Parts: sequence; C-alpha cells; structure tokens
Amino acid sequence: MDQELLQEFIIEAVENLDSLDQELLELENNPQSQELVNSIFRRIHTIKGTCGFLELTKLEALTHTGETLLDSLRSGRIPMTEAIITALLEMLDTVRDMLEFIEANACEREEQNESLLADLKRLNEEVEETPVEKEQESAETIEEEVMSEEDELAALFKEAQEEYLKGAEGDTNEKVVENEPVKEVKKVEKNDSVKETKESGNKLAESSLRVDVELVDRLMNLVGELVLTRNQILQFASTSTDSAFSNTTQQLNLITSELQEGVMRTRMQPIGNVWNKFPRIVRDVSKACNKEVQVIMEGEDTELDKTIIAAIKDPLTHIIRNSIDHGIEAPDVREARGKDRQGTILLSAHHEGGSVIIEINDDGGGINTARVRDKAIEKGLYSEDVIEGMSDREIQNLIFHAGFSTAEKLSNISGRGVGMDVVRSNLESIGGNIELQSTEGIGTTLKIKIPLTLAIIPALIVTQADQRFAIPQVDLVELFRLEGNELVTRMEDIHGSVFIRLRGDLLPVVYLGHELNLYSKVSEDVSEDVADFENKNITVVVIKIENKQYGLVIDEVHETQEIVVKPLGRRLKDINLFGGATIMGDGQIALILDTMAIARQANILEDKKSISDDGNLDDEIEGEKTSLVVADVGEKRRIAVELDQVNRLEEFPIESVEYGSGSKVIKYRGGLLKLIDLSEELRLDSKPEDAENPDELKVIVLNESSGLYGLVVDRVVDIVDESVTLQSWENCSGVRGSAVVQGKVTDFIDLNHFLQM
Amino acid sequence: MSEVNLNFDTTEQLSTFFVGEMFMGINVMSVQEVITYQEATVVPLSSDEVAGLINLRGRIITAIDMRKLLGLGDRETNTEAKIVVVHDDSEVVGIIVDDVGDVYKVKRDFYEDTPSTLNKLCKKLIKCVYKLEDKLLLELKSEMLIS
Repeated sequence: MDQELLQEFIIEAVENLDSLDQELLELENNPQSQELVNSIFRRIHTIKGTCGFLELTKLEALTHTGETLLDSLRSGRIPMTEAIITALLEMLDTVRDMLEFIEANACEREEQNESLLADLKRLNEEVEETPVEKEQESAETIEEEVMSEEDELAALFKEAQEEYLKGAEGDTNEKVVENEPVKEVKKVEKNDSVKETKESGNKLAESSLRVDVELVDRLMNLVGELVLTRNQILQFASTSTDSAFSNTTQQLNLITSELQEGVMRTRMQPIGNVWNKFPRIVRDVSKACNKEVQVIMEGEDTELDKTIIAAIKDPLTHIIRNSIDHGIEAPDVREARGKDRQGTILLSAHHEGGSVIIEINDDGGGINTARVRDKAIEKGLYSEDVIEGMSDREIQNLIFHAGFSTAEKLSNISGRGVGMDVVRSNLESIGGNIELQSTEGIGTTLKIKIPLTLAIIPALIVTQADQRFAIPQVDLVELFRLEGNELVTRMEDIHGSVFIRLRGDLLPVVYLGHELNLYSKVSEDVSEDVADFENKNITVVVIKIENKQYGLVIDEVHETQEIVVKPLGRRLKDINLFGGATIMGDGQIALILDTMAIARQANILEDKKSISDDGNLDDEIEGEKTSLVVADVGEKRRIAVELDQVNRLEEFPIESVEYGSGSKVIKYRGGLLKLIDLSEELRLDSKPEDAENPDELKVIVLNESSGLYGLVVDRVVDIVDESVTLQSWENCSGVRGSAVVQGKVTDFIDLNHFLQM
Repeated sequence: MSEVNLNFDTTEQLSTFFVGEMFMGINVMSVQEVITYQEATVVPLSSDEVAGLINLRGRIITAIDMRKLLGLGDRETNTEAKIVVVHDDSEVVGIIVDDVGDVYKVKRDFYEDTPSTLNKLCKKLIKCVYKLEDKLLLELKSEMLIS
C-alpha cells in the first residue's frame, strides 16, 4: 500500500469524520434538512470510495452499509429516527477506531464489527424487506444520483451556454459549442470519487498547507534562540556608539519580533478545534443521564497555542461531563423549578491581556454549599469550626480539593473522586488557573485563565542575594516597597508568620531568601528581627495563586523581559521550586520561579488547616493547647480570645467610627462592623501608658455565626499556644473565666455576653 | 600508549580525564565535546555535587562537579579545570574534571568488574575497571551522571 497515499487518506478521512459528527448532531435537531443528509452522504461516500481504491475492504464494507442507510434516508424511503442517528454515530466511532488501527499498523484489523453492521442493515430493512435487493437497489440509486447530478450540471451548463449565446448571437459555431462541453462534464463525473474530492480539495490546498508539527516545533525553538541572541545584541548595542550598528540592531529587533509572532501564529489553532467534539459528548452524556442539554459556543475562533489546546482538552471535557452529570437537573426537576426542560451549557472564550479566558457556564442547580460542607467535614478535609469560618465561595472551592466528590451515587460519567482537583492541577501545570462561581438553583460558572503560549513568556526579573530570578508575569499582581516606619506599622508578626497590611487585608509574606536558603544581608536581618526595621526597606512582589495572594520579599526588582523557557535537567527535578531556566541578554542564566511551589513550601496554601488543628475551645480549653490572641485593655487588664474565632487583626483611624442604632460601627469590607469597645464595656477608662498610635483603633475582628464583630482593644500583644485552665468567677459579666497565660492573669472574653446587650 | 586492535567488538574507546588521584573514562560515544571551565549559575537547594547551570551555546545544561560527586576535596584552582559534555538520548550534562586525557582504545582482555570492596558510591558510578600497564582506568556509567 502506498504509505503516503494512505496517510493522506487518513488525515482527510479524520477531517471528514469531525465534520460528520457535527452534521449528524445538527441533523438530529433538524431531521428534515435534505442539505445535511446530502452532505453527510457525500462525506461517507468519499471515505468509502477511497477505501475501495486503497483496498481497505472492511472499512469499505462498513461505510458502504452506512451509505446505503443514508441513501434510504435521502430518498425519504425511511424516516429519520434517533436510533438511526445513534447507529450512524457509532459507525463514525468505529470508522475512527479502524483508521487509528490502520494508521498504527498500516493494515486493517482482522475482525469486523458485525453487530454494528447488522444494526445498520436492520435499520435499513425495517422498511425494506429484502436486504440483497436493497443493496443492489442502493447501488443503482447512487448511480442515479450521480446521473442526476450530472444532469443538473449539464443543465447548468446549458443555461450558461444559452446566456453566452444570447450575448454572442449569430455565432456560427453555435452547435459545436453547445455539445462539446456537456460531453466533457459527463466524462469528469464518471471518474472515481477520489478525483471528485481531490478537486473540491484543491481550493483549500491553494490557500493552506499541511506542515509537520515537528518542523513547526523546531522553528519555534530556533526563533526562541533568535530572541535570546537578539536580546544579547540589544544589550551590546546599548553600550555602542556606532549609529549604523544601532540602526541595524533596531531593524533586527523588529524583524525578530515579527518573526516570533509569525511562527507563534503558525502554532495557533482556534479553540473550536477542541470544542467541536463537545456537542457529541454533551449528546452522549445527557442521553446517558436522561437529561436534555444544549450547548452554545461563543468565540470558537479564539486562538491558542497548539500544545495548550491539547492540554486543555481533557480538563474541559471533564468539566462539561461534570456540568451535565452534577450540574444540570433532570428535565422534570427543571420544569418544577420553573426552568426550561432543556439545560444550557454556554462555552465562551476570549482574549484578555496575554491570556485566554474560557468560561463554562451551566444553568443547572449550582453547587449545594451545605452538601459540600457536610462532605468536607465527613471526609475530614477540614474540621467543623474551620469550615464554619469559611465563606460560601471558599466552601464551593473545596470541590477542587483532592479526593472530593459530592455525587451521592458514583456514576460512570463523572465523580469517581478524581475530579476537579485533577482538572485544576492539569490547568496549573500549563500555567493556568480556574475559578468557580456558583449560585444555588441558578447555575455554575467556571472561569479558566490560560496563557496564550508556553514557549516564550513575559517575566519580571528580580534579584536575591545578587542572583537573578524570573517571575512569570501572569503570576504578578503588583509591586511595592516598605520603608522605615512602615516596616513597623504595616508589618505584623503572628506567631512567627509575617504579614503585611495591604489595603485592609493581611498579606502573608514569604522571604525568597529564606525559601531558597539564599540570604543576602538585607533580608536576613529582616526575617530575624521584626523590631529592627528602622532605616531599612523591603521590596515586595505580590503574587496571585489560586484565590490567594502572597507577598514575596526579594532584594531588587529589575525589568520585564520576554524569556524563553528551558527545562531543567533530571538532576534538578527534585527541587520543584523552579519552573525552568532561561538565558538572559548577557548570556547568563536565570532560574524561573514556580510561584505555586514556593507558596506550597511556605505553607501559604495550608494555613487554614494548621489553625484548625487546635479545635474547639469549649471542649478543649482545659488541658489541651489553644492558640490565643492576647491583647491589653486599659492599664492592667489582659484579655484573650481564641484564634479560631479571629478573622483578622485590623487598625482603623479613630475618626472612621460611626454610630448606627446606638452602637459604634465602622464601614468594613462593604458592610458594617459592629464594634465592642472592651475598655468601655469592662468599665476601664485608663489607657495603657505606652499605647502606640493613640489615634488608631486596634480591632480584633471576630467570626460569629451572626456575622463579624470588632473587639476594640488597646494593644494586641501576641498570639500564643498555651494550655490553659480556666477559673470561673461569679458575677463577672463578659468574662468566661481567667487563666494564667505567659505568666499573666488573662481574662477570656465571653463574646455572647456582649452580643446580647 | 593505547592498545591497537582493529576488531571493534572487543575494544572500546574511552575519553579520559583526571579527578584527583583517579583516572577515569567515559565511552566516546556519549561524549559530545570538552569545553574550558566556566562559572556555573548556582541553583539554590540543589545537592552539593551540582555546580549549577551553564549556557552551552543557548542550551542550558547542568554542570556536575566530579570532585564533589566522589567526595573529594575542593580543587585548588578552577582555571585548569575542564567540562566534559556528556549526553544520552534525552539530555546533556557537563561534568567538571581536573583535566582531560587522551582517547584510549581499551581491550576487553584488560577488563575487570568493579571490585566489590570499592565503596558504595564508587560502585554506583563505576561501570568497570581497565588495567592499563601503568595505571587503572575507571569507566564511568554515563547514565548515572545524567540522572
């Protein structure tokens, strides 16, 4: 068998199959469309024809049977049914299988899918009695069809001719002209169907070209090298005074950029290439779940790098299966809820900055927060009190947690416990991220953000201990610097973990030098002694991972650059803090930081869990260790609240306090925070003598089931882990009891008392 | 100095180098080139024997210091040192050695398995020993260097 011809046939056939998938699904919605039936028939006919030519007898037999069935449909002898569509789709799958086998082995499989063949025949026979006759008949029909097409063409020709003749009246060659072209048309039409497709394919071939992916990859690599060399020359040119040289360099710069863009574009494919598989998946899955689902796509022509297209296919498929299986309700349920019986999945894609945003929206039941919460507790992912402290959104995001699955029944389609966590890690491995938004009863939206390409990325160059590192631009939120006094006022140390106040939020701080064991003089001092901040400054890069942010403290920030990502050797694979390396303009190497891995190593992602370990205070306040926030109120009073209850430590200017329904409130995170001024409540008027910033209100924000409350204290002292023994006092309102914490008598605040007031 | 034997089945060509007191070799087929010493970019948190990354004409390769790998002391000066670039099917690494020697054709007759009394680390790295007239030539397993 001619290998090249075979390859071409396979590529062409697979393309035809893809279109067939779509057309069949369209046909299901629009069974009367003669146009679709014709198109489907022609495609199958093309495949069959070439099969015969290449002596792929099994494939030919199968497609022939399918063609026969289609022919009956076309002529209206049998009506279109769902069973027929299903059988035809199954046939496409089988053909695809067979093609794969042929591609791998260059020969046909021995066995034939007899049951499918029988099915297809039976469907055709349900109306027609005798199959043998039928086949012959169908063969005739094809001929007839060809004939009729021929006639049509001939007619067209004649028409054209007549028109032409009208224009050239009195032409003496009239008769000759009239006859000859028609004959020629007939000759062409009678040729093999292979030729037919070749001819229709010619138009495409003129404007596009099939190129080996390997070649494109190699070009991409070379362009990467060129970009690096260009960067080196640019650096060199900046020190040169020769104007001719700098002009040439500029030119090189422009051409390289354009070339890079061009080569990058050759690797770009519309996302529709992945999406066009989805209508079929949606159909199959919704049938299997007895649901009615339609899929709508927007922005199919949004382009992405080929490797990324390949990488997002599985995660997207999984999400869609999930949406149908878990998200969209059964038709009856939907009706009862006042929705359309048919659910809708909306896929949309668009460019935003250097990334592509893909949204998958379903109008299903949304995520049942209560069930997720119960499940998380049941599976022991988090303790109860930690979950209580979570917002609905945080709880919903638990579905990305490894080993989480809320489906009550495990189904074949989705929900085997390896689900959304794999989706997320797959997306993260290509530098993307996923966000979830769900409203119970209304639906769920998943927002995926992925980079356009992986090979060349913009990155920020930073230094730590005189060594350069690159941070991918997509991970960055902002940069800032803290100087002098700010280091004291804006940095907080909670039990060894450092935080920076950033617009009302506490930003966890990670020292790059500490994580990499790469200390420079500056950062070493900073990490060791919080009090020693004066006359120093730190540079912080705010990095976003998942839904969290953290501040990475580094020595210096340099410029942003396009870098070419190169993999690290196997010997360095164990250190997973680096995503690769790149060569800088001066030929030196810089490592690319994996911001996710750094966060993981610094325990940023796990912080919720570690707090939860200390458990509920009422049962464990005696004996076991509890994390406490200790604060001073008034001159001598020291109070404590359990860290579990604490949402945040805040400072507000005194003038921001307002009064609402008789109590002190403060505008806080889009709502009102009720303040409980402890020195007033406990009837203490004197302030501690050494109170810093008397104009600032120190507030411990507490989580209560009824909302957030702010406990106004005079000074937050520390956060401690202590095992305490409470001693209760009679008639001491607002205090549950006292204990010795760090050598001082400390009152434990009874928040309920203040809430009831 | 090298054994001349045209029967290639029984001979092997080793590219040789010196590390401390040791005379070592790697099959020439896995040696890509030898370059002069260049300072490597340190990779934080990497194990001791990894000297860092070097830029080999636009390709980033890991450099391994043979002295560190074998647990020998530091080199007095790196100016004489050379980097032997070794490759397998998928990857290239550079190994930093004190100096390089000739390419030796060694006969299987002089071959001996790694002596069992050798320390564990050496046993892991050394494929076999060739007894040359005046010294021993230790053949390294190139795959152990790469991963």
